[in-house]
Amino acid sequence: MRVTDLSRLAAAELDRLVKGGKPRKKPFAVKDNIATKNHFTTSGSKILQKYQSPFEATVVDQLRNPKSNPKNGKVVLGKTNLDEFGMGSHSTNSFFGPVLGMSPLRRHSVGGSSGGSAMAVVTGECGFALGTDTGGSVRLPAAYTGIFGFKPSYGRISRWGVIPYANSLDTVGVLGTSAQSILETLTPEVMYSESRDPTSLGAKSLYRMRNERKVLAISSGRVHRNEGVGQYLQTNFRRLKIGIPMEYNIAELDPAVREEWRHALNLFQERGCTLVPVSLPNTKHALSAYYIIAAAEAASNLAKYDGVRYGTRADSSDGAGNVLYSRTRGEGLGDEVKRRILLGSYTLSSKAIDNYFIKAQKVRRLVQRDFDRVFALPNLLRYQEQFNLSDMAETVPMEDKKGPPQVDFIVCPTSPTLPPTRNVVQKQSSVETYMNDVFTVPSSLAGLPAISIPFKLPGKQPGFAGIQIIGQFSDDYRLLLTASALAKLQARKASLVKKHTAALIRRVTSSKGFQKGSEETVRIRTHLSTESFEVKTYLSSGKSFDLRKHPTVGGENRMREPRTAKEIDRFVEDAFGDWDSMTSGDNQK
Amino acid sequence: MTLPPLFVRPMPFQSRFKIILGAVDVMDGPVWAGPPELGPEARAGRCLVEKCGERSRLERSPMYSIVAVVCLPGCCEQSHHESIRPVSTQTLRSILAGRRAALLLDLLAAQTTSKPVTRVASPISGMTNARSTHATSTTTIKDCHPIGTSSTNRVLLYPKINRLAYAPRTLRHPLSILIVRPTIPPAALFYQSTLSFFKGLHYAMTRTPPAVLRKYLFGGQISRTGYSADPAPTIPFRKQLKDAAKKRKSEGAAKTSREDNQKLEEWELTVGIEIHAQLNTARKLFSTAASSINDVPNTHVALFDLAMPGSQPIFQKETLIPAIRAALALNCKVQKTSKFDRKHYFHWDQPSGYQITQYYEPFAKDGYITLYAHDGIAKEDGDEIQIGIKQVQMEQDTAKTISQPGEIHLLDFNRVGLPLIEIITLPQIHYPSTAAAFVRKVQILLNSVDACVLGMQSGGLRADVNVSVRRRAEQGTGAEYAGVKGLGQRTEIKNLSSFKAVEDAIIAERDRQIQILEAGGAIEGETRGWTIGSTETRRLRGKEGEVDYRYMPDADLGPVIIGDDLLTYLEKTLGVLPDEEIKLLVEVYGLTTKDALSMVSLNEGGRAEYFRNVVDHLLELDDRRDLKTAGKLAGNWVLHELGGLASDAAEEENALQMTSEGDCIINHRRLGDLIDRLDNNQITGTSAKKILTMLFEMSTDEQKTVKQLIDEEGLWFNPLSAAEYDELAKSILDMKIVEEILAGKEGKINFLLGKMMRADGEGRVDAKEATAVLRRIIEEHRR
Repeated sequence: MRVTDLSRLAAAELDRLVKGGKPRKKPFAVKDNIATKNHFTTSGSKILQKYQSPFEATVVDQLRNPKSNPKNGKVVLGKTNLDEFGMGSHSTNSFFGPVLGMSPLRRHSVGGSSGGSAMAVVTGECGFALGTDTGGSVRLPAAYTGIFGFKPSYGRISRWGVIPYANSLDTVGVLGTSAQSILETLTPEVMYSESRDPTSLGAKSLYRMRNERKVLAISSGRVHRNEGVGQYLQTNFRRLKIGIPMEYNIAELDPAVREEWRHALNLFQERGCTLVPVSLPNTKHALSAYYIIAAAEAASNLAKYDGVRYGTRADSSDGAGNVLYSRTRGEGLGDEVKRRILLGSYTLSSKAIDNYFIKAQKVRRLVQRDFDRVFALPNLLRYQEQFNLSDMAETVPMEDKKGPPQVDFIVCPTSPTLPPTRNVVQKQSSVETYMNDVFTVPSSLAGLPAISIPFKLPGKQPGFAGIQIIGQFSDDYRLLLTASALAKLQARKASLVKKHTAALIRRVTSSKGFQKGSEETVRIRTHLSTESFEVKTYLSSGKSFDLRKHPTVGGENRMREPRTAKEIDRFVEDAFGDWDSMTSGDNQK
Repeated sequence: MTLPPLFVRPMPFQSRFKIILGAVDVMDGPVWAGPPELGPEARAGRCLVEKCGERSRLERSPMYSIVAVVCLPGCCEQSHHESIRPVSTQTLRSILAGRRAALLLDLLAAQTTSKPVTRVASPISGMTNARSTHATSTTTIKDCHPIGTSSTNRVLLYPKINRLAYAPRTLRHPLSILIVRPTIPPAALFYQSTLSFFKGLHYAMTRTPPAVLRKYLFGGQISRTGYSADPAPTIPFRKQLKDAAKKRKSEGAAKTSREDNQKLEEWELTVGIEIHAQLNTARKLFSTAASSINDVPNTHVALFDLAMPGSQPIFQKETLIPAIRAALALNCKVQKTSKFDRKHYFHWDQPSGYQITQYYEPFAKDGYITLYAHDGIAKEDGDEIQIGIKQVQMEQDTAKTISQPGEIHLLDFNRVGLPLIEIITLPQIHYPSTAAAFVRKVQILLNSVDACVLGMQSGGLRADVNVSVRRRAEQGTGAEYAGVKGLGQRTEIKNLSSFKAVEDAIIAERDRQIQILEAGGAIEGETRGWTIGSTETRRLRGKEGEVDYRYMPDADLGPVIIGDDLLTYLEKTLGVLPDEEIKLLVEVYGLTTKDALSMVSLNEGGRAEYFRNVVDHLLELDDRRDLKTAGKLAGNWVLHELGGLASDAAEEENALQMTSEGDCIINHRRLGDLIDRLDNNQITGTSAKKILTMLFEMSTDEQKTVKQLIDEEGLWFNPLSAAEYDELAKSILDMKIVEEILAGKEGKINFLLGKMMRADGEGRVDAKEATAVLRRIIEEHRR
């Protein structure tokens, strides 16, 4: 991690708080494009390298201030590095240098733009860190570093004090080691309505949405009148419908990621959720629309950096070179930022605006409508729309005569690939790096909450892939609870797997064909998990067995997957019975 | 009379102060100009001091608002001082309460003297309703230092503001003091201004060139004969007025030749105007920083105004109120939904790199203004003309640049983000004077509905004009704007800050374009500038230098949705606009247009209110009268006779204590009674005037009824008997004249009649009867 400004003050504050070796207050890190009073707020840019904000961002104040948050008053550990103004996907575009990964992933990209915040969490320096998510800037680093990254609904966390990149997309996000810790961080105080941020959801809107959600849940029979959200999940997990967006299964998807995606879906299915393929036909245009809108807004938002009132100023006069501020801005802004400003200025120019900016806005609306049509919960910000079936593509599967199925959440990968190495990133063109955001951008365009959950990959380096859950607008808490539940399922299953792997190894080593001393490897695959286990053992024949090929488990007549420990035991016994006979048969031949 | 407490305690030299009343020309450009870096606000308004007796005439004019001028004895000519007396506290208070100072000359003062700046604290800061201060406000002068020697004089200026409803908290300095160099006789200054007053109400007036004034104010030099470089021989004020009239006549002749310019047989001029007007609001458009006029620089600035990273705009709903009022006054359709857009360009006065405006969806569209002949439109436009308004949009003002020598620009962010409205007309104006009349009318309308309080003279209103010409016979190059086709290529002239500048710049640009076209050239679409006093517009930048503003909806700001309830309420409370009221007074009440104009403009509409009350009472007393007769009767008394009273007591700003609701020292019922008795021949005109004066001099609580007064004074009209007539006639008979009459000069009889009338001091002589008696007696002499 590279902390751009771990201030002395924070250290002193920490010292003061530490009593008997343990800090009483949880420290947290803040991405450097969120204003804090006692640190520089650089946004990773040269032009703001000495900029000290005269005010503090609401979200930091809420987390830090013991008055508004007495139980959870926390302390700012420091500011974390980022891509300049949040523009980048690998945290390499900072004036202060790239964010480095931690061993053994030192050479890998940590994702961006909140890479510094992600590494602050990964290294264990703080329990959670604040990031910002414009097109996936929190979720991507979370996926690349194996932690949780949450992007709330647009307008849910105050942006007052957050240096805007693309203000219609910017959200403050949280990175943490678990969904539970994120849930605990985002107290109602933090998710409160803010009068200084005009895009913040007002208290009235929040109240109205809460009530409408409750009424809808009760009327659909999914929840009892007196149940809270938590209870609802416990009792109704089985009734959840999970959408699998077909358009997300792209050719470029890394097989390992696809495997993890399947794994996550399996976990839901095992808990009784219904998996439904859904279609989000406009997804393919989302990425281009995003890069037009974001660049246009960036060009506008970054026009204020002229060095006159604050920030670094070039030595020459402001009018040097016959273009006002050209020196200051030329020296102060990085290449990627300049690229996007130029792109944005072009797409907004009177000749190009109709072809680019306005079309992109239309695509954005289509993307949002795609989501609205798929989610069971209506978008409570908008009047409910009646979707015309004839407008839909023929490929969209129908649930019944009324239309396609509607789901509670959408589950998809966070990124199409595993974290690339920085060398690879360096060789990529900027358009190629934009590809990383293909799965995160749609929910940003639609303003929806989304969380990236790490799934462990056995064997491979790096050993995780990010799986994203997307919820309907304003469904933030249910999304976090679901993510938390999913993470627990994953952990539970992993422990089950661990336990039974041990049983398997025991069983294998005690089997007939086993010979001590041989150094061959057998790979055993079971239905316990989509993960594969490599068991180094001492088999003479050195053959690999796939238990899934067993007639009782694989193929057309596959059995229901074992779920409880007892079932697994029985299943293992059955499988090994067959295996024994097979190996002995081999031996006989 | 004692001086107002306003000036008492902190001022050791208070007894040396005198306050005289003057007027600020609210319609025209600046009369004295500060250094250019002070910006248009600081380049104060025209100051016009007149003899006290003239004040009521001034009051009747919609063009002026009354100001007080404070000066020290010795600074002016004695003759000038004779009629000058201090105003009462009451008067000053009412000035302060009702008017907003556009002119804060602290800066100016600071530059002219190294001594501390004298500033007057606001009597109205923190109040919520302008009217309430009549009772509550107190005023003190802070940090007062006698500046210079006794020969220093000071001028207070109060520009006009009426019914100030929304800005009060922002008014930190309702008045301030300009320190004028001691050596100049202010009369010289006043003289020049007086001239312009007499040029008539509806013409753009010539102004004192800023350069001359600057010299005059800062260097004490007077370069023009009008300012009398040699210690001026004392010119009696009456002579000054006469001279002014003479000068006006001679200039009037010059003007006709210019008007010929407007009739261009071959070429048709087309003008579209964009007017930027500062809204009368307490806060900025997108931040809670107070709006201020000439406060200490950079004291009313919020984070957002400076575009601090991470700050966001919060739309101040209250700014909609004056904006909607303005839209309604301009007959616009107020849009239910409107949105804000960003207009991008780099300039140091624009901190965020863009201005927030309403480009795609303005809040008001499709309005119009009707201009009448009395508004000063070109003759060719006939009695009235309607100018369409394409749209009215809200936007942010920019920061104020204070330029220093050596390419240094100081920035004052107090102004940045103040709410403006931009009014965009259709290209329907074809004459320069109509264009000037349009801008003037917009100012009057905005002022009358409280939408904007600052006029052009103080920078509250700025105009850009788009000018194109085409041959009448053929279509232009086919340029199109707002659905008007076939226009010639247009050029834009930016930042015109006076009505005269609008007219002159259009004339100059039109002539330039015609000249080019006639020489076979082509007009380039470009932006041009205009310097006051020049004869040609100058090129600022061509098309290639045009900025692509890259308009884009502001994602931080939601749409503005204006509820019907607000609209209905504002429509209801908008009041009668000046034009309607004038029309009403002329058509229903039978006043002349001129009188109606004065009636409407006096006492912030209170005079008209009072007038109506009197008429109502007259109708009550005698229902055989019709509205027109009653109106004519009452109009004369309310306007001229009451005005005469006020001018006799000219030391008071509002001697009648006429409020804007139409209350006055003399109850309208009393005046009604009086007029009624006069109309019924129960008293004579002379007696009626006498009684009016008595009523005026009595305080309100001890006032007697008209009947009581007539009884006490024995003024009941009793006609002279025949014997008395004979006696009177004989007593004044002049044999010489009688002989002349007998010789055939019949007209001379009127001379005798006049003599007879005068001989009877009580006005009992009836002219008809008296003439008959005179004839009889003269005929007797024939024999």
